[in-house]
Amino acid sequence: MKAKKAKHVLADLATYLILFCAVLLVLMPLLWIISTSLKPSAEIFAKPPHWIPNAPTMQNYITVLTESAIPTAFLNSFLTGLMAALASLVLGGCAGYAFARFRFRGNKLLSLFMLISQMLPLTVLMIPMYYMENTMGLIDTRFGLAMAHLIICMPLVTWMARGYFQGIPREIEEAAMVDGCNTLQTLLRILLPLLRPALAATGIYAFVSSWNEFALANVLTRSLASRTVPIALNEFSSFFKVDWGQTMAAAAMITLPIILVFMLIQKQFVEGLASGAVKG
Amino acid sequence: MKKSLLTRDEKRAIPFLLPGVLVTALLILYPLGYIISMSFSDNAVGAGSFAGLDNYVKLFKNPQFPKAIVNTLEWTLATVVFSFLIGFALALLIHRKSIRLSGMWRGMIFIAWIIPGVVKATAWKWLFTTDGGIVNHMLRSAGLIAEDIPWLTSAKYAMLSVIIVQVWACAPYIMLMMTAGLQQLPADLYESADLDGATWWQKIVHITLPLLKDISFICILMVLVWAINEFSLIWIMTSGGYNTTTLSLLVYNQFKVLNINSASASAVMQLAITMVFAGLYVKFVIKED
Repeated sequence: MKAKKAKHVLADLATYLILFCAVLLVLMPLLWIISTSLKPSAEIFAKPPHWIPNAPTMQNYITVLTESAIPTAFLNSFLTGLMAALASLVLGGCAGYAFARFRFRGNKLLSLFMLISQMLPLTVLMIPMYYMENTMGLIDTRFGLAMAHLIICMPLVTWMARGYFQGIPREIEEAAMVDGCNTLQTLLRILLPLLRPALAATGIYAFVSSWNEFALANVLTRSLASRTVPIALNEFSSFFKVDWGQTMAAAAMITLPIILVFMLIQKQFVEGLASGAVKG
Repeated sequence: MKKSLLTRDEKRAIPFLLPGVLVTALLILYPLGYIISMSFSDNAVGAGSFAGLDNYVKLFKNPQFPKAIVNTLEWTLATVVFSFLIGFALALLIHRKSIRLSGMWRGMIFIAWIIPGVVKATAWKWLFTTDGGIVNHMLRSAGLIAEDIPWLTSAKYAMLSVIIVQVWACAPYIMLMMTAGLQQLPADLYESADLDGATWWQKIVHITLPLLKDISFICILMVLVWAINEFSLIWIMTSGGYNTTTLSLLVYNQFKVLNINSASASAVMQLAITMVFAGLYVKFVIKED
């Protein structure tokens, strides 16, 4: 009995050790981003490299904020993400509602189309998208990029909203109908208030997808007029001589809001993942 | 009374459904039709005439194409297998009854998946660099290597490096999905297995894995499709150099030099491959739905 207990303790210790190493491995790049971003340029290539900066400085952050394309890129990313999230929330939310509540021919087929669309390769869609937006004069505009990001956001939001509406018992709506509400009134007064947190999380998820997107933004943007943060960050590290201090300061600034947002919507996000909603 | 073409439900569905479906069709179906027709056409945008299978024949004769297929295969297989094994192992560890703070461990590990793709790629590029990179330094300090390894600039290591980063990011996703699955397993099955004296391994093979079959397939297919479609990670870390040009990068490279017909043919090939696995994925999700 004693031997069995000792074996259990040992197994627990081993488990904790492995989990601890896994967490370290996950955090290592993040810690190195922060460490590098706080180092003066002389220390960045120090041999051997060290984790704690000798003379920590905010200079890299200040330079990135005052002299680089990052602040403009932040604005572009924010506005693009906002347009994509709002449009997909309204259009996709309504479509998701229809999928969940009404019987119509083609319901199953269209739902499947929304699900499978989330897995389309963006490198494939990027080519026709480029020519389409070129003809429409939308290249290098935030609106054009937001429209392209609907490729990702529309299927995502529709599928997630469909799941949320399915989760609400029909009886609630039927009761409202008996009380004299029509379809629109039921949706606006009964369902939306119930689903507000879930739909907010969906909108945020759509926003984040747009914020992170690289492949489409890479071909649809050309200048400061529409370049988003992923593109601006990549430019930093594409120079012949990379300033890693500034690059990592920019990387930290891009990542922080995303991690905060995910902490905020963790619950809905995990449920969404489990229901089959996926990132593009 | 005249019989209506549409049922009552259909009439009510249309105003909600139509705008979203039209927009999605315009943004997805139209471009798909466009690229498929381009792949059968013989000249620049809009002006081409039907060229049959010429573009495909040319593509198959182009030595870059089989190379990209081999690279894609290597990249996809490695990332899927290792992400699943590591992710599932972590899920099993976190799910152990005696482990405290399981939510914290899960949340911390999941951070790797949340980080924006471009940040992932850029940070790892810096970690792997031979000029001040911390990975070489740590391996040297630990006595594991004597000379710096040119992680991103050699045919021997470049593919391995990008695979490491993809596994680093995707294993946490598998971990999360599998812990969600593990939490739903009935406890009494394990209790009776304990009574029968089953070992830990036997319980995994005979109870856990069969019960988690569907969720395993779902997340394996997901990681697989992501791998085939991945562009930014490889593009940013190696620009497709040193045998890391997968199909996605081949499509992009051909597009970039405005070799549109080849790019379209490659794109259609990529689309076909992705859709096989996406179709399987949908089948499993519908089963769960």
